[in-house]
Amino acid sequence: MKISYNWLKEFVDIKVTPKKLACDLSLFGHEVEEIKKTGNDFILDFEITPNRGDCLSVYGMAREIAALYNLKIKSNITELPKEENIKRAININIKNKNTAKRFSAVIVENINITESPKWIKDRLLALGIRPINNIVDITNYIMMELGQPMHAFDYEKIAGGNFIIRNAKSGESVVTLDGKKRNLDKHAIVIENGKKIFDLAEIMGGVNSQIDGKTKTIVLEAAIFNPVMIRRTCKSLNLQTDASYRFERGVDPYGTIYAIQKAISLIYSLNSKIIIGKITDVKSENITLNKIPINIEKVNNLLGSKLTLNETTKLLAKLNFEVNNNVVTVPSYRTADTTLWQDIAEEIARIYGYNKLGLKNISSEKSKVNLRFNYKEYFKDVLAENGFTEIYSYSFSDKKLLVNLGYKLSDIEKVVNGLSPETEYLRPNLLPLLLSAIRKNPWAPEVKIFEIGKVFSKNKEKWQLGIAVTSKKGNEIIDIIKKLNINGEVKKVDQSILDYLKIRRPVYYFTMDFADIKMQNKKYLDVFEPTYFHDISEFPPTIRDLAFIADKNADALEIKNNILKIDKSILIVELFDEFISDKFGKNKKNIAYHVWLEDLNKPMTEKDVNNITDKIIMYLKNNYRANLRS
Amino acid sequence: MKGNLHPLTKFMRLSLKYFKKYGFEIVEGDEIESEWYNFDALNVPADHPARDVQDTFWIDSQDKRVLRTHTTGSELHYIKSSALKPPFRLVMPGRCYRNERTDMTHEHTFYQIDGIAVDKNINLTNLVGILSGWIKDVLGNNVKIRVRPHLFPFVEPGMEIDIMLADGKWREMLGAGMAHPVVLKNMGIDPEKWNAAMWGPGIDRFAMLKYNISDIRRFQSQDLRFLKQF
Repeated sequence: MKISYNWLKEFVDIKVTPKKLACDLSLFGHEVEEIKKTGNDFILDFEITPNRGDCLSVYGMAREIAALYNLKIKSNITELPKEENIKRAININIKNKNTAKRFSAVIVENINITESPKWIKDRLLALGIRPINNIVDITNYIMMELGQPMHAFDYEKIAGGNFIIRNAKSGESVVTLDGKKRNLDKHAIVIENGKKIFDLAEIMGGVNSQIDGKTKTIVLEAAIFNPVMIRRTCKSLNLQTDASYRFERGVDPYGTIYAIQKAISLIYSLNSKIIIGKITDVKSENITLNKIPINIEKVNNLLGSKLTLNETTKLLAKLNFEVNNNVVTVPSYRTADTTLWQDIAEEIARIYGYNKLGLKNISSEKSKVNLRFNYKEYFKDVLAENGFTEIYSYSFSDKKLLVNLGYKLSDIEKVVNGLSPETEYLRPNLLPLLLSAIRKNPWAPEVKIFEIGKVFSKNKEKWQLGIAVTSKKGNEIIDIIKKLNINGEVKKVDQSILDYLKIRRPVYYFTMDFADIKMQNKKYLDVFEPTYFHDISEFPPTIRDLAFIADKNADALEIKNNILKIDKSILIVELFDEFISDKFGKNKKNIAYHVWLEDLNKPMTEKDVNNITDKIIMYLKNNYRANLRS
Repeated sequence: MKGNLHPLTKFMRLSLKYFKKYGFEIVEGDEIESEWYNFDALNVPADHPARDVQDTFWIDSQDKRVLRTHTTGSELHYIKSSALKPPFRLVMPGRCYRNERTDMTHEHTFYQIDGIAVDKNINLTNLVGILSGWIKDVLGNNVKIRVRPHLFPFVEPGMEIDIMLADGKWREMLGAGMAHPVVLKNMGIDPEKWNAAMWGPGIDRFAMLKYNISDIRRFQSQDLRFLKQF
């Protein structure tokens, strides 16, 4: 929602810069996404939450600014011509009561259709609205300024001046101003004159009542239509306009007359020869202000504040909420979104300042143990401790791979509206994802991975543990499930599947549902060394295995951490072997590392790799008296 | 050779450690949720733009189920179905889904830790206290925090919490608020007697800040160059 800074200043004396204003309004609930300078003005682009239809205008935002800075709102309405007794008449009939709360209209004669003056065109263009002619532009200008959508009809084209407002019947249609024929359903609100439909209420006007260069007499209309009907029609027609956007979010039911007056004053300021009739104002229901009882203790108990009723009254007055005998009268433009005392409490917090309310700790307490959660986390600890790396995979799996693995697609839970084919089938088992992980890491010296996550079948989801390794016999899995105290079959992945995935090494896997695991009360780690991620390159890594003969007492993990610091190309260092043996000499041991190297900007050359491994070898020699094993 | 825990596992545990200290019980829920718990129960009206098909993965079934778009609905589901009586404090960690295109800062799969504290006198200042305590606990004591009013249909008053990044800019990090009376009723709790502070941060973005990860897609990348650094 774009609003001009200079336009705002017509209503309220803003003394701060656009940037400061944007910052203050953000803290007041209206986020500014962008400030753009155009000429000597600034356009602020607001993110207005859907409950605040009242802020979708210059005037509405000016009210918020006035409340925020404790300023007065000015009226910028200029001189109005006298209402005359004219011959032409309008008759308004809200046939289906719930289509419109209110319908106000006036006849204006002696109109001259021309281009708008530059200042009006400039203002509209800055907000992205295409100028059309003086009358249409003024209705758009009023919508931007006051938030009240308006429409102007050519009086002569709606013979008789009858306005019958009703729901459309199925099979009816209307040609809208964009030249498109719109087929309507019962939610659509239309206006007819007894002979023809000439308007799709406040979504878009009809071609057959459109103003053109010859128009001399117009009807200016401002109405309050049913927001839900407007939204449904917009959705079914796949059409949203500035007017429908405002109606869906709530338009001030008290604002129609003022909008018409403001429009007349603008037209009059450009053409003093116009003649206006009496404003006709029809309501289909009694329009009243919301009155909400509040209890200040309850408000304080919800906000953690210590406000008195007197202070609260003063705070609310800034926002035009009146408090009398513990009853709050809500201003008309907040009718739609302020219905509960909790809504009032939010307004109090907002005007007082969320950050000024402060913060308070709550008491420490003992928490109940979640056996299954703890057990899953304990499993992860055991697996990680024993060399397995935890992966998180998507909950979706590849259709072809599922078929290859022998799944019947009709048994698998499916998403109907995914944006890509990859998000169509939910995983029935972790195996397809473990396999895709192995395929994605062809360079890893050995892959030992696991995942604990949900798997899905029709109408059912379960927690599952999945483990996979690239290995000749799969002994790593046999060992780890023994440590986890669970039993089950460790399976070899079929060669045809590996061929399909282009995995060039044998893979063993194990999956088990948590429902089949007997759980015990276990603890898990929640203290970790600080980690800082180094970004990975789009080029494949080079991995070198380096084995050293070091003193028996050398700290292999300390060495690992220090190797990481030698060069920024060293991404990962893994200690994969450590053993003491006399064949290396007395009090000596063998330590061996996988060193993962990469360059963020280019593939690594043999020379780059050798330079770095030389550095590592020198470092170990000088600092640990460790020599490379030849 | 040692293996590795996923960074989100680590981040989740660090967060839960904080919440457990204040008596929050860890509970979990289903990732496929009914339309009612995911939307209606949270006071998201049928005509709300958030219901639009494109943001949600809908399951192919007769009974209108979705891949949950947040853990808040699951939390309500848990409270209602176990007929939990206040006062209580819960946190619900878990995987959530949004049907959207992915890029460096958007993922269709992400994680939340929803929390709720129901008590007679729990209030907005407690809510800010709990959450700023958590943020400082996981991101460091020096992090600057501010609170802004914001609309979420399931809370009233509602707020967003921003933190200041290294470049001095504010970044929106999470939404929170005091439960809307309709939502309390949907949990089976009398809104005239009880207050509830609730929140639902996506934790991926917190973990990205903590561990210096610039691309949210790394979490599900299955790339060992990423995973083995943790």
